[in-house]
Amino acid sequence: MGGELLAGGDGADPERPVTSSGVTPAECAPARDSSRHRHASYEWPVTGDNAPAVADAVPLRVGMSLDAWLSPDGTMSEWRYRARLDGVTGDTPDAARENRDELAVPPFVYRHVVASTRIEDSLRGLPSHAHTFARESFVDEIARETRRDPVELRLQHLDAWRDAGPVKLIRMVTERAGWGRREEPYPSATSSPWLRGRGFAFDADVGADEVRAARDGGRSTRFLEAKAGLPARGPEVADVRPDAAGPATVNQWSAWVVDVDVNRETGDVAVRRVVAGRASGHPDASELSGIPASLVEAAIAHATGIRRLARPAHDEIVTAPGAPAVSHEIVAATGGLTVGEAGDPDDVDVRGVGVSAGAVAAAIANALFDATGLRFRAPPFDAVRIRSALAQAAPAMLADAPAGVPQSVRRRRWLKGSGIGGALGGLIGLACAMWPGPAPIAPIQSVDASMWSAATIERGRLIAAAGDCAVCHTAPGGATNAGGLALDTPFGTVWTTNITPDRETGIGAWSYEAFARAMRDGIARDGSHLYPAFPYTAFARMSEPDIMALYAYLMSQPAVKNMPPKTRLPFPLNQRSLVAGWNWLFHGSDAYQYRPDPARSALWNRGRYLVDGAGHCGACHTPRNALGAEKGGFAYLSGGQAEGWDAPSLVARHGKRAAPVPWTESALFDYLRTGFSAEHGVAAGPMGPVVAGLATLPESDVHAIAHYVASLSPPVDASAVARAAAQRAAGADLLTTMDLANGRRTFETACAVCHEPRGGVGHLGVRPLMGLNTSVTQVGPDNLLRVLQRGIDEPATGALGYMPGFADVLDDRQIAELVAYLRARYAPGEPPWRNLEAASARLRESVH
Amino acid sequence: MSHPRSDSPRSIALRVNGERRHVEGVAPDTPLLYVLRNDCALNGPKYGCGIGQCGACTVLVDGQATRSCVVPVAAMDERDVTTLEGLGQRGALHPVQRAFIDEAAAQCGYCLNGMIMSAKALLDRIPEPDNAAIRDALRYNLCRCGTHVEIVAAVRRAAQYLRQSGAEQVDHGR
Repeated sequence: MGGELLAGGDGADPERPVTSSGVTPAECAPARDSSRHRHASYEWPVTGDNAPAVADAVPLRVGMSLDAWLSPDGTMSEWRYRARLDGVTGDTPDAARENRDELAVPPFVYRHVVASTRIEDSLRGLPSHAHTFARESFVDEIARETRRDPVELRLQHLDAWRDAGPVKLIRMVTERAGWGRREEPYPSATSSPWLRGRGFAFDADVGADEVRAARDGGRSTRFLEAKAGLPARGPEVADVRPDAAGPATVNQWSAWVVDVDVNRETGDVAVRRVVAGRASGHPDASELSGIPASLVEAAIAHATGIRRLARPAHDEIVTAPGAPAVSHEIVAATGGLTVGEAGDPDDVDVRGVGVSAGAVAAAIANALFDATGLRFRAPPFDAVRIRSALAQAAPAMLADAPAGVPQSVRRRRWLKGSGIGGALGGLIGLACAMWPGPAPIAPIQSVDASMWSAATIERGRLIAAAGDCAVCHTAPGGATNAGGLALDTPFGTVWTTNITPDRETGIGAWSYEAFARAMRDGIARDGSHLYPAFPYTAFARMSEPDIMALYAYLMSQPAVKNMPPKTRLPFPLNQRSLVAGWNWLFHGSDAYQYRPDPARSALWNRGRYLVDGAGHCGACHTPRNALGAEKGGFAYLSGGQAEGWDAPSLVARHGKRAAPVPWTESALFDYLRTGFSAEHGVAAGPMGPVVAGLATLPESDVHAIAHYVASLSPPVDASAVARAAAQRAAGADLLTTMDLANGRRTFETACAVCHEPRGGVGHLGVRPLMGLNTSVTQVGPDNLLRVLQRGIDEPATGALGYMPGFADVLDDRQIAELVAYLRARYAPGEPPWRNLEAASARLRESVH
Repeated sequence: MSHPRSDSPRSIALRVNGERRHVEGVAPDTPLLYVLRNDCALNGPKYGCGIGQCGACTVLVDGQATRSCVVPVAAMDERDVTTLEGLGQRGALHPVQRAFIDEAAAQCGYCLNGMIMSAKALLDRIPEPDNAAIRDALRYNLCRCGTHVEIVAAVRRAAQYLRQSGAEQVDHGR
């Protein structure tokens, strides 16, 4: 049976992955209901240095035979495990030798089951991860067969109290992976050859260690007992028993969620993402951490035979520098790296790979089943074997996969119908108002915020900071996120809403489905359309785990009862259903989900994900068309409008400067991190609160944003920039401003103390130089006029200092003279601004 | 946000001249100068222009010359404020104060708070400034009486006093 592609249950039938046919009647106690019995056989090849030296060249394999009997409630009541190194499953019916106990017995890690384990390992070459692979695959089989969630089934077999650490770990990892919430399948599942699947595996390390220790050293004191009286050349048989003190003190656990793509034509398997964490210590006081990329890579290579690179996923927040990531994105290895170069997985770190290889292989096998409906019971899962197995399977089943595939949870994306409604809305305008809109989502009574792990809520807090939720959803002087800020848009005033978990006035009655629909589709819980002033067009790119974590964070904040004013736009914009048409035009399916560019670095992808997703930078920095949608192509981040301010271009291209001197990556970082770059200036206007929000993010995320934004412009030489900055800071010579004496006098008395490059004894805060300031070189004078009139009384950080507003000190004529002088001296290449006095008067009247 | 957006009056904790002070019922955006003069009865810093131009309101914040009329009091969280009163007392004047008296560097005296505090900030950084450095440092402190020559001389004398006294004088608030 070693040659079978699907090392199957006996007579493996791809369409019936779990079979009970291999059980002989003698093994089945009469009282047992055979319909509650599951059986399968697995194999694990023994390779590398791990393999014991044997005379013949026949590759060794571990044969594993598993049986489980289920309770009426679907949990497992009995578990029988036989493993044997020589490739023949040790399936001898020998009930007398079976050791049964309700305690968790390595390598079986679950509780509330009577487990019987026998391992025959005469050559002492049985790798412990083989046990993990078989166990985790088989538990998944049982769960899928009984239509239970594989994670839930495992949690039912762990103890909430004694296994607090592992349970916390499993919750953290599955929340981080968005387990149970599917990513969007490929746009047209029938035309794409790629199938998607997701699998889970859990492992407890010490159990395997104990087995290995006993095996390696022959110190079979606690668990393993060599059986005497066997034939001289027969296998050494060990029955695993719990010691008198109870189960071993398991000191390390790992949990894995693996996403794979399977090409149904070629059989190629691409592991796309690995979300994994480990916990160690005492079960109820364990430390949670990620898993080093090298370990993930080695385990994937072991399971698939292909060396690929693991790097932090684009939605991974690296809170501590150098900490192993929890979510890994798997990309092709470049530069001809092969398994051999990177070291055979069995060589790299035998202990480390031993921990992960079995679990990763099981998670991949479980994901393959999720994608294809086929159970692969023997690694490696290479393309040849998978293609052959897929070819044997009924074509009809795969033709419309994954719909025909047994799924634990297969969620339809909401609102597929609105595309039609949207199309009509866009084309025939008001007729759309009569079209049935999106359905309301039933209110929920309350959300128990304790259901989320602390790690998830903390992630949500950081995502809220990256997305600046509170900047718009907090009124001046109001409670955080309770809404009520007036946003002036070209279409009228939009009042922001209360996003605290208050049931009546906030989002307390919103289920996660309702929240995620709002984030992605701009549709409120009651089915009404939100105006695109709420940047759901950007938020749609956020990953499922990120939206989930944000929901967890928001729902765990204090509820504030506050009903902000209703947004009332003039007709026809008050017909919110028109937004369906807008969405059809401007919020296409490509806007959903961030697709990382594997050719770019993890840092670049992280930066782009933040800029285009949660950060919604384009909402202000990308120009909008007449209908208020962000323009694409070359207009991307090329400068827009925000609350009456000109948001400068973030991109220098086609000879168009983004700033008086080009932005370097380090200048961008300084500016975003501190609110000030010496080569540019301070964050003013709506950018101030943005920087204040970024200040709470890990430094690595700000680095990523700076790296990505810098990559949009041609590379610049830092020393050349420094020279250009020094030259521009001095400004034009006196002659060019001879006729602007009034403006010059005003500057010298009112501004120079803080804005001249030299003189004075310094002051609290930074010294922004006007020759480097975008507000002086911009096309219009509005930003400069605004800062002059109102000052900066809420700087991004207190270290920047404060600028007084001069609206009550200087009249419009004086301000116009001052601004004309600044333009002539510090932006000598730009045309003078006209009608400054009128512009100053106009801005005095505006709200913002 | 560096300080709360709320403008409603609240209690604010300050460290002024080495003492902790709690000021009740102050709007967070109230200029520091108002709180110092009205609530702390420290009238050394003067109200001149109110927009940070003249320097008469200068105090030291963490040793940095700061125009207290344009800094909101809420920004003083966790910072040390030193006013003219914190430099020295009657009978135990700070060398800079003594030097200004000895040079009679005042006519109306309204700018003197700013001149003295700025000179202190300068001498902390540059103990032996030449005339050009003194003029450069004080160029944004306005004096309308025309006492500039005496003021420059006073700063030079202050440097001399500091040198003579060798070790730092008692310096409250640092």
